[in-house]
Amino acid sequence: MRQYLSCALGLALCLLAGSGAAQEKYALSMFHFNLQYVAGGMVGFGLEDPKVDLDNDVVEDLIITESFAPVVELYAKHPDWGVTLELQGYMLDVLAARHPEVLKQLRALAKAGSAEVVSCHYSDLLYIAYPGEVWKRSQSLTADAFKRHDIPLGRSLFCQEGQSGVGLASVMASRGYETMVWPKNLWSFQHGDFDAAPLYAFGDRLMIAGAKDVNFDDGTTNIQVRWTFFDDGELLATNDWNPYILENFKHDPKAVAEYETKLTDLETQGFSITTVEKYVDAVKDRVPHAKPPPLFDGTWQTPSHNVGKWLGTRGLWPGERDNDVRTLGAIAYRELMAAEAAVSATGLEARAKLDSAWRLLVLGMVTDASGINPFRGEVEYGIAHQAEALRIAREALRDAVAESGAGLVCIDPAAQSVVKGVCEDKLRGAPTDVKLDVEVLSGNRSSETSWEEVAPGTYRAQIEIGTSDSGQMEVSVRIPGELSDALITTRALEDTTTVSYKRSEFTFEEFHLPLPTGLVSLGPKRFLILDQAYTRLAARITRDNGDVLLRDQTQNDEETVRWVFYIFDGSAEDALKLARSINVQREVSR
Amino acid sequence: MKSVANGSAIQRLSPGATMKQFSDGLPWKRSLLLAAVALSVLPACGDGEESAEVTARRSAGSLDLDIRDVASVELSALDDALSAKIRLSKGFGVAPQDAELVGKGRVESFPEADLVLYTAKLSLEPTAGGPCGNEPVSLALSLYRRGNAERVGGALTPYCGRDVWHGVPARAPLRITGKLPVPK
Repeated sequence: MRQYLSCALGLALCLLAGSGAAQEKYALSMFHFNLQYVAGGMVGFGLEDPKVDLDNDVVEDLIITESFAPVVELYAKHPDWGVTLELQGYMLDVLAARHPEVLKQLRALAKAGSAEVVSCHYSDLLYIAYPGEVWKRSQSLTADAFKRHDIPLGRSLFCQEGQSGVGLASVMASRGYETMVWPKNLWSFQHGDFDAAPLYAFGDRLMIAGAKDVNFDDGTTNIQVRWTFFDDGELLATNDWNPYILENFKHDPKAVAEYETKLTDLETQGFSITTVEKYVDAVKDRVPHAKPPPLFDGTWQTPSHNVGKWLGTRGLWPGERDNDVRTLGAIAYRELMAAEAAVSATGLEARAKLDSAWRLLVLGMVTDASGINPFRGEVEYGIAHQAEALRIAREALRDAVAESGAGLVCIDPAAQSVVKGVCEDKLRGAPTDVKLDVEVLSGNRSSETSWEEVAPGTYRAQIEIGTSDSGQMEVSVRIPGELSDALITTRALEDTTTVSYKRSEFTFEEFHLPLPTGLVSLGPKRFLILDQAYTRLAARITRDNGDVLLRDQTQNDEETVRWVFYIFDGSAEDALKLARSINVQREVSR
Repeated sequence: MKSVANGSAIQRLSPGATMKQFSDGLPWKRSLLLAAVALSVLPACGDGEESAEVTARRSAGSLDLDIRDVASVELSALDDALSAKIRLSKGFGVAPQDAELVGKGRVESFPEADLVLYTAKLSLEPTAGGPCGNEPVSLALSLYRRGNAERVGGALTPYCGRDVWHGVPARAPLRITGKLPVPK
């Protein structure tokens, strides 16, 4: 019997099963809290009623007092239970500033091992849509927040909106993470329903299927996993109300008590109420690490809320501006990368300035600024933070250039160099005849497409889209592609390598890709590369057609817009070099 | 990131290629200079007349301030130097209400993105009862425009302390959006 007991951790209660293997039963949870649930507060949400206007800090405080603190208090009552709480590092800073007693209670639970406090990033940002440096900076900020507030950072990993990408495996070890929690819907949408294994291999790390029950019995080991909660943490203690509905968003003790009873019943049935981390520790040496199928990057409620929800698909409220918000983030990112290179090359002391810009940038890149149903206040929260990050980045860059005394310079983030003079422009070319018959669908809005030949096999498309006097807000561009089984793109956190997927290995009809480096194939030797400063939208691919569709349903009809992308003919390796030069480490003249 | 040895900054800089065109046309500083000259008012010159007077490009408008309130903004740009006058209908604990706030800044160009950023720094006295307490407030303007669009958007971000222009803001950046004509 001893071999079936995780005695050292005191976790599993064992019952005899029909197979002869003692059952180990684990009840897990993932409370995904988000202090930026209503980024910027409710000001302007009640369109005609200023009474519902509550500013940012007030809404944040309510999330803590009405939904977070009650969950912490519940688990504090049961020291033998474990809970996995996920939150952004920014939330710890707010707890410290305005709710120190709650932070103290959380710390006590975390240090006792009762709470695994998980955090993927400082701000709940849309990291899968940007080059990897963005996530790395955000994760570093969150790690710093955990250290400053003396909260152990959990070894499991779950991100805002269940954003998941296989590329995370390449960075998890160096940052102290062990187990990726991959949301079940993002898996089943790609490959159909499945029986979850107790553990999966994830690079040199591990993975579990979040919110998916496990019923494993190999005759030697019998493991059952049930998820007691896997959702927005705000919903439990408020009886399923979210912070947008503030009049109902209140701590409901009855709802908490019902959940408490549920856990007590499970415990009576032999389940260990525990954390993801402890579950993994208990089983990892005793179960096979199954190989997961190939998985695209995405979000947790695919298909209803695929990544297009943040990159072009319209939500409920007016004022949404997905492409505007996300391109501004891309521009600010590029300027920050150039500023980092300039500061490094000139030896100027500007770390604090640059760090404050990164912090503002990741706050501004919050998912809620462009999805799922952003209202104007959230959209402008993203814009405001990113604009201020851009200002600081430019100031740091300018100071560094002034320090050098060089006047006009060419800054190369890839080489970390600053050279006197203007950069040779490698991303523009001479006008040329139409190379690819892209289809612009803009309703009654005018459109004009022009092409440049940047180099043999490299073409730049610029599409100018006019206004509409009849409310036409949707603009799409279909880029024709050759259908081949192989589909090549890059994954989040892996900006230096392409990945080739086989369409035939997936069950979906269509999928929205976030394109963190802007790159996706249009055939075996042809690639689409978005210029993310103009076009930061999801790319819709299908299993049975090689075309790619870019769509923005939030393009204000009173405003013109320019989209820019490149078509590259050549190898995947060279396509990625071009994508990196456009979006990841852009050379700039300043 | 690849590190660069301190002290090598100047030595690293070497004369580059001669000026060439780059993204979206002329090098940005040259484009601003030429634009300023093009937009300046040039009196007719005859023999013996003095040189042309360069006038600032101006723009003014009312923008939404944190959605419910109003920021009246006047910008005056000479080359890439900017002067800003701003009046806020609400102070949010960091600025006086309905007072004229003035500051200097820049017109920052991002030609590879067809974007312009208007920046200004407004130094303010302490606001009683605000998040900065008895400290002065440094209010940073960052307002962007794409192409020739009338729409601008961005922030007024307050920092506690005199001449403090980065760090953790005193409060969430005040959101500014609306229509502001291109300065002319």
